[in-house]
Amino acid sequence: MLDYLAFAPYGWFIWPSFAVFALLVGGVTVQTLVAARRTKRQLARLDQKTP
Amino acid sequence: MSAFIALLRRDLTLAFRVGGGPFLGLAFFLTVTALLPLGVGARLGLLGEAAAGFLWVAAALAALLSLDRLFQADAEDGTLDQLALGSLPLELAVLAKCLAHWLTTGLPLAFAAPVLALLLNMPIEGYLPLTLSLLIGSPVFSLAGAIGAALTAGLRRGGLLLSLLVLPLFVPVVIFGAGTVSLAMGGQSNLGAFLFLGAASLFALVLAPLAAAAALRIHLS
Amino acid sequence: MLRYANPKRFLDLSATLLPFLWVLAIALLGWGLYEAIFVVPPDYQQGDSVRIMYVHVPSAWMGSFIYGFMFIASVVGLVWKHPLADAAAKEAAPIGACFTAACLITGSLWGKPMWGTYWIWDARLTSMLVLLFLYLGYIGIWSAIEDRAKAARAAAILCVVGVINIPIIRFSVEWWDTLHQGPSVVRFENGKLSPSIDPSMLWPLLAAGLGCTFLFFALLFVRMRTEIARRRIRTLMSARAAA
Repeated sequence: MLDYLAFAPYGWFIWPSFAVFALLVGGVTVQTLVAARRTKRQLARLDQKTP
Repeated sequence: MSAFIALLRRDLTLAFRVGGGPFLGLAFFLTVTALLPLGVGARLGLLGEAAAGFLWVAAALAALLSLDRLFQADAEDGTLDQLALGSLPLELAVLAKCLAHWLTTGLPLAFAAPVLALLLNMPIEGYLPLTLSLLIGSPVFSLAGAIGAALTAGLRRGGLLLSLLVLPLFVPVVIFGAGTVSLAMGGQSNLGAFLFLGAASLFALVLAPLAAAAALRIHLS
Repeated sequence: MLRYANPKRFLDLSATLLPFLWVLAIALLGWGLYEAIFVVPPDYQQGDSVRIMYVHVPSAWMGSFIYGFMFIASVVGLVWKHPLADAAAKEAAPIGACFTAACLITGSLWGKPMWGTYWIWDARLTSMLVLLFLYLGYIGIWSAIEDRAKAARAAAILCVVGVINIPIIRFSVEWWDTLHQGPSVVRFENGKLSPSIDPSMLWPLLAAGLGCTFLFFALLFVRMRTEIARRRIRTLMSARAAA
């Protein structure tokens, strides 16, 4: 299995490209979700204070 | 029409009295050209091959350098508001300013280019296409650049953003401008590239004033 | 369409759609990438390196698709002056920039084994690079102008100008590519997607592409909802400051 996943001799190019894709697309996903949660909390706090 | 000419004359006078007119742009052009052999080494063959493309890039940079002042000073001192209220349509006012910008940057660079090409050891077949292509193509720098200048008018750190906005618009002109020269040096017909440059200039002449005026109105309102 | 342009309606609609979008995105992208790694057979010419296609090609699709989406949103924003369209264009840009960057980097990692070099100035790579610059300029102008309504209009004008320029840039870069064929570079002749691609390779690719599309809309909706929430926060704050 590990031999298969090494994808010799192209593993050095395949895994970094999957990693870059995951990093960029995952990164923008995480940033989106974190910003959404933070804004939602801030809004909830403001709504509580102003009846 | 008289308002157009008055604005043109005002901008030219300002360029000569305050900005040093065409001489500052020429000095920049010359300095950058002097840097090329210092950077890549003084091998004449290499320089001659790179000369056309490099001079086109230098022309684009020289235009860029002066673009952020195109509307900035007028936006700061309120001239722009007056222009917007005046009888001249804002589109034509933009056109007058672009013309003044081209007369003080693009045009002198086109005539200086052969001298610099000589310094860079460019083959003789390239001189005429280089000057002609700069004459035909460099109006795009002033016109397309005006869109970016109008979008960033009134911003404090607009200069760097301006280059980012405008350089992608310069790509086709640089490609075909340098292409006319390398085709001529290779002994091939470069008529198609010249026609493209002309088309790009006319296209920018029509569309850029509209887009730039629309962008200026954002900052005026 | 304009019926849904009401922020309240948009909030309701996006709240119902979002779970489906997330499930579809994760399922399709997960299946496509699983197939790409474990199931798809190595290409007879490119060997295992063809697996990079499953992240590269969807990224390229998304990079172009999202710019087109921003163009439509910008035109709607310019014509109807609707804040929701402005927000859609604004929030799409960072996602598009990420996909475009992913396309460029994976492309250059694919290029090393195929062409023998990480970067060749070929027409497709170069126009993709210019597209990334267009994205960066668009994001830059949003962050440079403080007044949101002004920023929206300036960014929309820039986006429209960019779209007019993309075909010109594309055409000129292709012309330039034929002018400067690098003789030393080993070229990969068949093109990246030969039409005779085997179905076992095509379906995972389509799944990954569709998954990315659903992911884009899921992210876009979440970001637009956040933007609406931010606007409410601003009005609440200023109302409290006034009181």
